[in-house]
Amino acid sequence: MKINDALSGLLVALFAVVLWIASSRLPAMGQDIGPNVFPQALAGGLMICAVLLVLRGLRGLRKTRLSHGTTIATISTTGADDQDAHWFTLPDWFGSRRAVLAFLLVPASLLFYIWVSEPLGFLPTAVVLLLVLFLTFRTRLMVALPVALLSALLIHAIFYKLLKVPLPWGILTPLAW
Amino acid sequence: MLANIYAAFGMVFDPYVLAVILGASIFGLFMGAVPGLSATMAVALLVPVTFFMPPVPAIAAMVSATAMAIFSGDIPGCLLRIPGTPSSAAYTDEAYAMTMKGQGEIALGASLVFSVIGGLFGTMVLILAAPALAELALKFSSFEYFWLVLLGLTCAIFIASDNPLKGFVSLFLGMFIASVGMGNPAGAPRFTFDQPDLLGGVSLVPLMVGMFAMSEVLRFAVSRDFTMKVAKSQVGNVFKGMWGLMVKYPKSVLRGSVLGTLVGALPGAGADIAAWMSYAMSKKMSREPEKFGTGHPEGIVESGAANNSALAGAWIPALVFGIPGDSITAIVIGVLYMKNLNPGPMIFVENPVSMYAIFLVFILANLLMLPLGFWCIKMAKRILSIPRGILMPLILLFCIVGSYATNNSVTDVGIMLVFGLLAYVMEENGFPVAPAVLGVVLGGMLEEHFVTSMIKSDGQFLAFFERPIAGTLGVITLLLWLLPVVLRLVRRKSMAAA
Repeated sequence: MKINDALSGLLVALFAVVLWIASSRLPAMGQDIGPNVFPQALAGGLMICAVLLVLRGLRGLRKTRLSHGTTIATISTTGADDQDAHWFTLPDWFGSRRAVLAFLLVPASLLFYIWVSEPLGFLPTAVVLLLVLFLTFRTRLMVALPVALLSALLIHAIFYKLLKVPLPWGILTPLAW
Repeated sequence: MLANIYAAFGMVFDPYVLAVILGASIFGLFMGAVPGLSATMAVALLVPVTFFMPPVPAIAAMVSATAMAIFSGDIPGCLLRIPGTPSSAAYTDEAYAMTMKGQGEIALGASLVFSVIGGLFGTMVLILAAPALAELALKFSSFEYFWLVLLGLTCAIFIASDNPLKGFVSLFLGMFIASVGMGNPAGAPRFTFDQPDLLGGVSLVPLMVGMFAMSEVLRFAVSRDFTMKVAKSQVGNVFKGMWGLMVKYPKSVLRGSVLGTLVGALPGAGADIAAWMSYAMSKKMSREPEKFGTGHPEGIVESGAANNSALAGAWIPALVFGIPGDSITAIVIGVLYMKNLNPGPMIFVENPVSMYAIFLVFILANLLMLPLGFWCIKMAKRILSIPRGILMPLILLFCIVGSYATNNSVTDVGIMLVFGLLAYVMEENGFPVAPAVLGVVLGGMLEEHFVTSMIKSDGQFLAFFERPIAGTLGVITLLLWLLPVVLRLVRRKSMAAA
């Protein structure tokens, strides 16, 4: 989703303030140039950028308002085709339920891996993860199932056998090879 | 020196290293040829694997994979009108127009042959320039390095991004990420939120995998599925007529290679910018500019050479100063540090054999591109018919395991998730990601040289201008900063006058 430069500028400004305060609390360590100097310089730089971003965003919004009269949609749903400045622009895939689902599935599958891989084991986790994603991306089950099984085994072989990464066995521990 | 070169040969022509080069080359060809998978992503995905290798094969893997990917990115450009990597975008329309005219073989052949020539040219410059520059750089103190890093970051923003303001935000964010942990001159833990995992800083591998690979998977997830239709199924002899092109456009080949190497060596500007600049240059200097865009090989010859030479050029500042020339070398520098092969002028004194080995790998990889590239063109139809709905989940799983593998901890998978989402949101809103990665790699260096210099000079900032080289670099940097402001004032004045 696209947000107007004025809003992203505000976010950057907020971050800059937090960064400044957090760095000022760092211990001085008895040096003229303590560990706080560099992050505070960054915070200063971010603040300058933030102000310029806000100004630029507001200028764009005003231009759009002038050219359209008084009314202007704050949220544009037409996506990238819309040349006007809005506070928010929803991405054009937002209307498609499949796209939204697919987008959310990516972070969800990472969280799934983080929580489940230890108890369940790498192989089952990987197969489930791949299978769900394959099916979401419209691969037929007859293709998705063997590909998920084989590629999970292959990636396991590369990292576990070849590179000696201790991938968890989980419920398959008795079968570990 | 001869003994070193001999030792380097022994290092490279080792069955294990050769096997790594071959494997990485095939991997690179594949990654470049599939639209949506780029050379940078290929390197990011290689990092966790190279983590377990000795330095020379690790570097060899990255060199060969990127060289191949930059070439093979041209293939879908010719056949589908979709660039395989951003570096091929400059002449995709041209190449496709040639295919439509029935000259697909010439377009593909020119891409391959002039990629090899450009790559070899860049390598030669790297071999000659890097040790000489290193000799000069041995005299550098923290003052020179401070300005050099700052100059590099400045170039990265003003040259490489069309939106300097957002580039700066991205750079500062990257430098903030670099400041997390205890790796600062004072050794104070900063922004760790009392998490022991963060004391050593944000792990580089999951960060890069997230920013360059996972963000791409996210972009794919919301893309409208387009069926890829290969415009040409039978490819004949692509080497036919190449000598003719070489004789017809020798100046283009040379110009593309020189410009590419230079742009590559500039910090922050990589192969994609080299290709755009070179294509524009070619059109401007051509005797028949009206033919450009209608399926004319001249631009392909020039910018095809440029993007591959840029790849080698980017290694010059990376090896000599530890300042990356593009996002690929930014990742490589991270890997060099992990391998205790710290880049900088001393690397040529302490590790000359490894350096010669890297040079050898460059030459070898570029030569290997001829047969492997030929084979890849022949296989192109099959590679392009692999559905991306199958590829992307596999890449995601590879990202997960790769992030996990460096520290054997799922925390790193979380880091990858955070930075993948961050990179996606940033790019959606026009904030370029490359400056952030440069900031992460160079932030620590910038702070260290600044603090060391300030301590040396007792807090006198003028000391930064007292040494001749440092002073010159400093003035150039400041001029670059002032340039946009001056330009704007001049423009406003001329507008007021008119």
